[in-house]
Formats: sequence, structure tokens, C-alpha cells
Amino acid sequence: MMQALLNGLVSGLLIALPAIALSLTYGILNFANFSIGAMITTGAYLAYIANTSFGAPIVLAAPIAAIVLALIAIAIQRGVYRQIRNADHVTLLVASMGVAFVLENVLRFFYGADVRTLDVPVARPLIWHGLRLNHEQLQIAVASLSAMAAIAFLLKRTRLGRAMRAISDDPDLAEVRGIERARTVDWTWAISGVLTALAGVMIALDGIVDPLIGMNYLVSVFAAAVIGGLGNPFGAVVGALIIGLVEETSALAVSTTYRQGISFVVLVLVLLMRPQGLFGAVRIRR
Amino acid sequence: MTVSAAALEVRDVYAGYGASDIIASVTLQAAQGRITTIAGPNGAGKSTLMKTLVGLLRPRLGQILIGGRDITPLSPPQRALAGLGYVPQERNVFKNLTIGENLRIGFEFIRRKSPEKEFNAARDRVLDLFPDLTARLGELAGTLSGGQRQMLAMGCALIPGPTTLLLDEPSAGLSPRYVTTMLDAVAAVNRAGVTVIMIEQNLIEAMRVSHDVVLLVAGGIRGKWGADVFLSDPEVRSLFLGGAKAKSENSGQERRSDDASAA
Repeated sequence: MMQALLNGLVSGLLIALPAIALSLTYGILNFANFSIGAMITTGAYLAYIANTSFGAPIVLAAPIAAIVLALIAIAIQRGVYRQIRNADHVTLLVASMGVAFVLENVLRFFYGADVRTLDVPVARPLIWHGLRLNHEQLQIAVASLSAMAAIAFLLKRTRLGRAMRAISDDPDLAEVRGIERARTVDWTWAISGVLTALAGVMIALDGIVDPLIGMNYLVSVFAAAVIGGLGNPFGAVVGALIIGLVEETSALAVSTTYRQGISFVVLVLVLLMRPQGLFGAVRIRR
Repeated sequence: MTVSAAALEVRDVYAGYGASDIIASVTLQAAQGRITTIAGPNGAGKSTLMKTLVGLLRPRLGQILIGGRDITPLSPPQRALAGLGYVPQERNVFKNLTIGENLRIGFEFIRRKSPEKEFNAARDRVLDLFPDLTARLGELAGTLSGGQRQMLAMGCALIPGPTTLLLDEPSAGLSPRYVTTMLDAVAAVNRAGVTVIMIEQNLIEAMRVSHDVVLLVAGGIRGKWGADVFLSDPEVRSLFLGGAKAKSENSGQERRSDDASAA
């Protein structure tokens, strides 16, 4: 049981990164980015390419993947979402599905559907009072917590963070106060790219690289962000931890095949009780 | 009235939403260093005009100039950088950010290069004007009452030091005490050299501080008056008070000021 809780915590920390990314872009652009799964996959492949084709060790391959995915995300924003920025949020959601298909199939075109693995040394797991913690899990926990701390600092303490929160709160007023919306949106996508790429790398570290690894996390990520109250990045972290813990502990009782179904059940239960998400009410709308 | 340069000039502007113009052929000048009130009945297009001045709405035709410079092609952030401050009537603060953060945001994107010291000095000036906010800098702006929000919004517009300030109904929805505080603050800001253009429904209070009045009716400018004579003009009276007949029926100063406020 303790082992399941530990695994759940790590899994939650992993889900938290793309869930934060989803919440940030939702808050600023007001649409749910369905391509987040494909972005995770792309991040994993970018790290795989840097790692195996260029021989970069994983500590170098991960930041390279993050930077490249950030640039790709900005390019997608400018090439796709900005072109239809006045469309309603359903149109944007559908556009992001299109982006997901394109990203995934470009990867399939070059790398096929083969299962690949990163070239990383195998390390002995840490054992403490009978609890087993893989090296990969430790890396996930450290990287995820550092990324969260960086995001919290960015949102609360920097000019860019305040610009992002201001636009999320009231885009017209933000413009009147001198905030350049287009530039802030670009930065938001870049941050979203960094977070999802890191998640992709960590998923690849813990397992394999194939064209569907991101899609497998899509439901969990959406559930986490919605449970936390969409648009609230801090709520997304809590939502992710809940989803991670529930998914791992449920594995004690039911087959892991039902993992995504469990996420859905949790999501439905939370929304039945609190339609705005757990932390949706903290935000003042009136 | 002395002849002074126009701080803000609108030349033959047409603007609206979709295919139809809400304001048409609007031409007006707001004199440097004065308070110009835009008066007009509901639906006259006052807020549309204001949104066009700020840049949230693009005019279909016409030009807008600040201090002789054509700002028509500029975006709202660029106009803010050019010295235009704006206080919207509603949704005028970032509700999920603290009062302190709201003030900082008001400053930091317009005065990008200014050191922290200048921000602190500017913030202190705003807090002197609205001391109610001082003790609550760490609270979310959404927890403020309507009147306090209006003050914060005004503070946010003032903090970067605009040369021209646009106010969309600064006294709307405020209790009488706040109406006086707010319009006194407008007058104080103006005395410090800021040109003010405001929409105001509470005409009797507005005339106390205004210098000039422009009347907007059905999307067009009907004329310009000195604030001292505006409310006694027969045309204005008939527009806001329902004609001379209504005036004789509703005797008493108090009743008439109610009507003018509600107009």
C-alpha cells in the first residue's frame, strides 16, 4: 500500500507538468489544448533524437527537447491558433485536435510505430524500509518539483507572470494597461512546450518511446487540470496528485487496464460535487 | 476661455460593431489641461466613443490624435505608452490579483525602464489620493467594494503618469460619499496637469469639476458648452429633463437633480 502511494505521488508529479501547461494555455487563450498529448510524445521523441542520434546524455537531451518543443509550440501558435484567434473556443479546440494528428503522424512518418527506448544507464533502485524508488522516479520527482517551483516563481514574482495572470483575468483591461497580448501568448506557449517536453522525457525514461505515449496520458492530464479548476495552475498540481494517487492505488484492486477509466470516475465525481473544479471558486468572476 | 492646444482630437470618426456605425462623423477636441465631460442620454454611443479612443474598437473611418500625433493605427498598449490612461466603467481591475499587483501592473508595462524607486514614489502618490487602499495591498482586488474598485482602477490608470486620462463614468454605482471623493480626485489629478475626458451621467456633480461639456446624442455630436452654462441651456434641459413642462411639474431642486443624475 505504501509502495502504491509512493508510486502514485511520483505519477502525480509527472502528470502535474502537462496539467499546469494545459491550465496556463486555457487561462490565457480560453480553449482546452487537445494536442497536449501529442506535444508530450513530440517532447519524448525530441529527447530520443538528441539522445540516440546525437549521443547527448539525458541531462542534455532533456533541455534540448524542452527548448525545441517550446519553439515548435510558438510556431504552431503563430501558424495556426493566431490565424483563427477570433473564432470561438470549440473551433480552437478542434484546431488543436488537428495539430495533434499532424504532430503524431509526422513522428510516425519518420520513426514508424516501433517501440524505442532511451539510451540511459541502468541503475539499482533505492530501497528504504522496504519501499522501492527507481532512479527514474527520483529524477521525475526532482525535475517536476523544480519545474513547479520555477513556474510558481514565474507567475507570482515576474513581470511575465503578472502579464499572464492579467490576461487570464481580463484580456481587454490587460491591453489597456500596456500588456502586449501576442508576445505574452507566445511566451505562454513556450512555457507550455517546456513543461510538456519535460513530461515526455520523463515518461520515456520510465518506459518506452512510441507514437502513442502522450495520448495514453491525455485523459489523466485533462482530468487533473479540470479537477483543479481549469485555468488555475496551482489547482492543476493538486488535481494531478489526486489522479496519480487514485490511479496507482486502484491498481491494487482492479487491473491497470482500467487506469484511465478510474481517472474518468474521479473526474465525474469531483464535477458532480463541484462543477467549477476543486479550486474553481477561489477565482473571482463577478 | 483661453485658446489652448487640443490634447486629444477626434476627426470625423465612424465606429461601431459589425456593419452598422454606432457613432458617426464625430469630431471633437479636448483642450490641454482641462476636464471635458461627454454627456448624452443612454444609448448615445458614449462608451463606444470611449472604446474607440482607447483603441479597443477600431474606427471605420476618421482619425484620433493625441497632442497632434495621429494614434489611429496604434493598438491599446501602444496608446497607453503614448500617454493615454483609461478607467473602464466595469471590469476595471484584475479581480484575481492583489491590489498591490494591480498597481504594479498599471506601472510596469508602460514605464518598462523605470527603476523600482520610481514605482514606489508613484504608488505612494496614488495611495495619498486613495488612502483606503493602503491597508489592503495584499488582498485580492475582487474583494473590494464597487467604490473601492473604482478608486483602484483610477489609481492603476494614474500610476504610470499619463498625460491624458479617459474616464468611463467614474461615479457610476457609487454611494454619494464616494461620488464626491471620486470627482474631487478627478479635479486634483487635473490640477496636477493631466487632461481629463470623462463620460458622466451624474451631471450635476460632474459640472462641479468640469470645464467643458460635449453633448453626444444618437451617435453624433450636438455641440459644446462651458460647464457653467451647460445645464441651463434650453436644448440640454429638454433632452435630460423631458422639456420645460416637466420642469414646472416637478418643482424643487432635489427632484430635478435626481432626474439629471438618472439621465
